[in-house]
Amino acid sequence: MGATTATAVDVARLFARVAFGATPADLDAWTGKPYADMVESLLAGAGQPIADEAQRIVFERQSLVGGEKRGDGRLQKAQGWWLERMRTTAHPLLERMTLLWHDHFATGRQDPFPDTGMLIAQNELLRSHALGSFADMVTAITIDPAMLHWLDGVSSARPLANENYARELFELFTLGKYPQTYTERDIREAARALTGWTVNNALHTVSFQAARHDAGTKTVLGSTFGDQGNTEYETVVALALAQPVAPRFIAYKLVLGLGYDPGAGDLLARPDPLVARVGDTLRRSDWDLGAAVRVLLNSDEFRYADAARGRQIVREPAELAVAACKALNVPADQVAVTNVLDAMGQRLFEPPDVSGWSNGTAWLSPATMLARYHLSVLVFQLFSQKATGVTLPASADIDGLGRLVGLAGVSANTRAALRSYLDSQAKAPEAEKQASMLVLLLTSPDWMVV
Amino acid sequence: MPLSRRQFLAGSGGLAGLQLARPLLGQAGAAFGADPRLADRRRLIVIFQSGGNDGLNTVVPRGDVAGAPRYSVYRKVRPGLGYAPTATLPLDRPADAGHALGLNPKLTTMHRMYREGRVAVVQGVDYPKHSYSHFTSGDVWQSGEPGQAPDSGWIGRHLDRAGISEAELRAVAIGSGIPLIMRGRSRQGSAITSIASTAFVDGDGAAARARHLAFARYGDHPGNEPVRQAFGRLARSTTSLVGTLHGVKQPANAGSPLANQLLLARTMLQLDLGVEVVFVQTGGYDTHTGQIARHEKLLDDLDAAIEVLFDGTYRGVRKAEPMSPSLAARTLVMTISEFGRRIGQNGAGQADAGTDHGAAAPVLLIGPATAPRGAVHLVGGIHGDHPKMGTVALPADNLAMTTDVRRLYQSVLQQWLGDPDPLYGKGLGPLPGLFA
Repeated sequence: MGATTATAVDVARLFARVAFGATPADLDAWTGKPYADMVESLLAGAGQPIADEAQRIVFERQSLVGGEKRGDGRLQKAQGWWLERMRTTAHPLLERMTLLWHDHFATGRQDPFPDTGMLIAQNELLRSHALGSFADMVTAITIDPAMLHWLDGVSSARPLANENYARELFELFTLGKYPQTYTERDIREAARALTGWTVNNALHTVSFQAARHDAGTKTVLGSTFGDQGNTEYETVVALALAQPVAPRFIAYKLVLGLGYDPGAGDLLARPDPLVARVGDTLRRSDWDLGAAVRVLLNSDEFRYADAARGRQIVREPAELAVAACKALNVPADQVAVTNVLDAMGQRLFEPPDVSGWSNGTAWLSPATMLARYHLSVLVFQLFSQKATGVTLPASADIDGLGRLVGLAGVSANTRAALRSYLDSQAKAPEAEKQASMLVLLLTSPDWMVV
Repeated sequence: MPLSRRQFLAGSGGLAGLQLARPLLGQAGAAFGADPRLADRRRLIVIFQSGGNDGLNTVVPRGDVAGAPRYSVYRKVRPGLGYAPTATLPLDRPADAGHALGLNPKLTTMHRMYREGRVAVVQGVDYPKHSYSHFTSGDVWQSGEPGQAPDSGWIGRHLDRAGISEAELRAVAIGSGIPLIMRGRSRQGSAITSIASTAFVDGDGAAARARHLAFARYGDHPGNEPVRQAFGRLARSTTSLVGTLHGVKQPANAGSPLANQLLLARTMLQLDLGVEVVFVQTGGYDTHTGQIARHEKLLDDLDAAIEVLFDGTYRGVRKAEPMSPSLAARTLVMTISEFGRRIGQNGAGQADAGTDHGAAAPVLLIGPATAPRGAVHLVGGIHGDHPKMGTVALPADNLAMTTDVRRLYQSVLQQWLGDPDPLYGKGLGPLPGLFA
């Protein structure tokens, strides 16, 4: 077991990984306090911002009126809304988890459907289960209007079922491929069981049409069942979740998303020890994600993840944008911010495909490095354009500047790079040096990789 | 006189490993012996049709042949998706006419190029123990190593063997990420979205340059934190790449995103920066529903982009100069996808009908039909065997492999790119007759 009390490094790392970065106030509040209490505080959150919830409902309702056109700015507004919600929320872990599930159940805007309103409604569905029951979440999303459009459920009718959702339900959403415990036949049979669902696009409601449903007998994952009508999808989901690999696969996704890459080895034969423990928690708690995340965040494997073995996370673009805006107290719901997010490779509500975004160093290329650099310049520009109440430490105060952006310390090499800048610019105005130091800290390996 | 960005970077070559790519290139070709002159290097553009391109509606049966009632089966299981024989563009060069195959009606440019001997169709390409997953199968097509967890791509390992330096621009993906195909075990390709965007947003004034130099110094991050080290090294090589592309002209808008990407690919190949391979990805091929309209739009887009790449026109409208004859003589284009689609359609209605994930599919290659003595050229026409499609009474479900994709990659690497190393074991040598 690790030390009971949290160090500043513990606070900075935990907040960077699961709460969009630590503010100086977070560092002060938790350094020297019990680590487990800090985790509980993040799990509990502090309620939802009401005005923000009203805004969410406006977005959701807006599309009921219809008339959304691709490129009319509605999606970009919704992206900005979510970023700003992440920045200002009193429950950052809940938003971080919602982002993780958006990546897991990656659903995107398509013409004409799912439209932005459907995606916002799905976003709330994910949020409502993000630290709740995974079983409830995957059951609900199976007949979620946005998902029914995204993976062709609306087009799947007897006698020629569309396999798109059934395949991804097993491969991406519940079972994974390490090892693959389902067959092509399971996919085809499950697809038959999932036929019959349609969406009322004007109302965002779903309905089951028995005439489109394949009422024959199916065998899925070793279980044979007859016609169960509009509850048959629940049977398919339950059969998937009953597979021994299912809790391990979801645990793997949690560790990968929040902690480190545990490697894509056989999850049944040779699981990473933390993946096995988090998976056991999911199984024993009937899929309680809060319980699973509690075990994960309190574990030594997470807290003392071995950087020398590559067990660090490359922060994803949305996290970076939110963390930078949070540190400098500038709003994140700006077109310029969502544009840079796009250049960094992440458009919220428009994942590259149903497998979601990349992770680790796959985020990084010359194109995205320059966009990451761009983000830091942009956030500084936004900061300098209006009063934010944030006072910048002097350019020579590397630790003070680091602390402002949530770093509990600055590594030797980053410090050397920053010093080389200061040495070369001794005669530059202090304001320019402060700006440059901040831009460089916000593009440093220390900030990007945690 | 102020220094240009490139002069600036060149002049600072000794500083913290910040080096310009160009001076390094002279030594880079040495790994492949003989003549490393960059201008002579053959080039490859790989186009990945993401989602699973329907091979059967790309190279389409036009009739039954002895022992293989392909067209009869096709019409039976694709009532809402099948093309009539007169609708497709016949692959009718003398050696090919007996195959009774045609190209999708949207592939007009490629059909013309086929008749000029510049297009090769390799039939039934796949790998053993096929996966129907986008992600597993896409990884295999990019890794070229079926049956194992993908850790690198077939172009990336080519870069490993060539031993490229950190700043060397030998392989470039057009897009924001470095795809698996470009990742070697010790080296990797680069990625750009455009030339204009391969620049620091804060320009290249003195204050900005000082920041960029410090940014490049993150490249010295120690190896006890390998992920931060990887980030830092990319910061350094990116700074170098910005210098390399400084002043290069962004190609004009060519008519579509894919056309723009291919024109950017052409620009990268033309510059003689040492770029050998460009990877381009185009999506939307996962046509589970509404296939006819969606697929035709995609193939039309692809064909128009090929037209821009070689002819400089987009459906007849001038967008750029034609590709120079010397570049055309050295450039091969290959289209790949993670799988073909099921032989039979899903969905009953015409509007809904699509196809689910399938297996083997044809690969199209476009290259020079002839070459000066001693140089390599593509052998146009149909290569390999068409996969069996069953009978009208008992149609097959999927197209099984007749050509192992590793043999195709072996051909391209060895015979086109001149990579001398044997990549695969016995029985997986280059395809006979694809290049001459």
